[in-house]
Amino acid sequence: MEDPLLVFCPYPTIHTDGSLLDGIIMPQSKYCRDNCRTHECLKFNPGEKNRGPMFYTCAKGFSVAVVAVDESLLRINGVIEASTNTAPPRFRREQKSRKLKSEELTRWIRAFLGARPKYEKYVEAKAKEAVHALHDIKSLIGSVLTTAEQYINEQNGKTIDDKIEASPPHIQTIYHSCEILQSLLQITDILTNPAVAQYGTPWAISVHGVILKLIKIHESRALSQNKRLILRGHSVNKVRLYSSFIIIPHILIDNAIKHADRDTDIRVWITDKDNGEIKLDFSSFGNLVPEEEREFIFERGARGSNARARGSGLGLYIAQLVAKANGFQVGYKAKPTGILGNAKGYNEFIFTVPVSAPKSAPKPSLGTSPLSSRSVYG
Amino acid sequence: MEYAIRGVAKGVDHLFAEEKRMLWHKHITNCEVTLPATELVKRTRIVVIDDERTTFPFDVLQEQGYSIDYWPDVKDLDRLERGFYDIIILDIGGIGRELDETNEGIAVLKHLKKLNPAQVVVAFSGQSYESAKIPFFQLADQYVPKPTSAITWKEIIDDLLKTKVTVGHYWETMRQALRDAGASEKAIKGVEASLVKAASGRHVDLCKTIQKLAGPLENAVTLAAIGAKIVALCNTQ
Repeated sequence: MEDPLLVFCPYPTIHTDGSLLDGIIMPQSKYCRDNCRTHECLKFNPGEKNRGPMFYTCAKGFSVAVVAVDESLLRINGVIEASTNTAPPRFRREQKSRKLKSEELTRWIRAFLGARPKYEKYVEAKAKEAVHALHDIKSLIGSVLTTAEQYINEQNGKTIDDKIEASPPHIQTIYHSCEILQSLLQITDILTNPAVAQYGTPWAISVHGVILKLIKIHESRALSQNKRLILRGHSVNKVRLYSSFIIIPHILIDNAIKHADRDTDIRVWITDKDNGEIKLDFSSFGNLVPEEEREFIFERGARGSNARARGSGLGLYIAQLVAKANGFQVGYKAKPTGILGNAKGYNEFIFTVPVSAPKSAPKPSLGTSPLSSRSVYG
Repeated sequence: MEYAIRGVAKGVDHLFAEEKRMLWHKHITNCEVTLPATELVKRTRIVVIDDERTTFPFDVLQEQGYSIDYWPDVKDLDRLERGFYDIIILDIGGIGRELDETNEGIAVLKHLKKLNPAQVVVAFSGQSYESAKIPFFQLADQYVPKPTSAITWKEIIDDLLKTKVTVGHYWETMRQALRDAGASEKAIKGVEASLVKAASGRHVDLCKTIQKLAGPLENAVTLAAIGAKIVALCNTQ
């Protein structure tokens, strides 16, 4: 099967103009991602299922075709020549070479919908290939981790932690790198299947222990960029959380290392509240998230316009998704210091872990077991 | 560190054994006795069923005192069904093909949970991103992604020992299974009393007692196996 012609646009800006002018189809997701501040398209819903394509053109001349198919919305990227088109010149040049009539676009969409079952099969087959590849990677990382642990196990010490401390630095580095890779793989799992965030049963986790471990894991990486990771405060409370919880502090610490200014401190504050809740505050100094973008930082694919490091814009989205699965939310606060006209300051990510365990996902019905006809006890 | 004595028995250490037994007479959950953590760890039987041996930290955990067996596939389903292992760590892919070629680990988990809902099963898999396999992970008592370090494994197993490998959990599941099988409240109380009797050291044929009190139940042997686990957790002195 040929590659799909249409491009799914994550962030087109649209307004309900209701009409489509002749224009072109082109991938402009990067333009939208970097320039769109309203993200109104994400709120738009044509309302009727399988009604056929509806076209909208935004003030900048970017258009999207939106089709409600079953339970999901299909957004099709497109730049249509409109009277209000303020697209940059480089887009206009391309517009001339890739003209497209509205009727043609409609035909494409209809053809796309018709080919959907075939397309889905293709995607499924490709996904299966990726699944197998990812599985092999996990197994290999598992083997490296187990080998490092076997070596660590030969060191002196009563507990596993003691033995890690007693291990040579290069073994510790391998061990910690495996743990970072393990967290990254977990993020991939959650991204592909958000239900993963609520797999298993919430169990008693020492949040302080988790943060301490993460700081040890990320310490050398932070130091290599002249940034210091500091843990302040103390917590003795244990709270029942899903295993996925660890991803939240991992993402926040990783983001802080990536985006904080050099020669600054990254501080994690942890405090036990009187009612048993645990308050966490991740603070780092650097470029502040611009005010108009703050509302969207936890959205999928959101990237700060002043972000220096490369990134997918998925970290904070995943952190919030996992936080919600665990019964709380991550908040953001910008604390300007007056340097460079309030552009610099402390970026703070704050959340409070509740005492009560998050609600577990309902257990599925056991139905008929494929083995149930087997006589067990004769 | 010691696990706390639960229920009425808590705080009555100064009483003589006979007096304690009198207190326990009412409810089986009152008779759970403390065991030093190391002893509980040693007594707990764990099996890892995974076609890849290298992804589980056997050496580290065995040195920490855990009794862990390894099966590259479901070697002995009868043993699993009879509740021989307190914790089953189950992979999803590459195991159980002889039993169900398509569903593999999912079929094994479904089967075990249906037969013995008190059986603690940990889903250990690297395929959690497959949304088609969501039921497998939701059915399990705990989920551990691949790969996972020995420290996290230790914390998770210790938590399961505190929350699931307990008289309270086993009895609650057994009581529910009896109710589901149509046993009367009177019969359930009778079964509980016979468990208390067995826990105080007297010989009781649990399977026969369950069938006598609750009628000819299909899963009487499984219920008796859960009962035996309860008695074992009480008979620790």
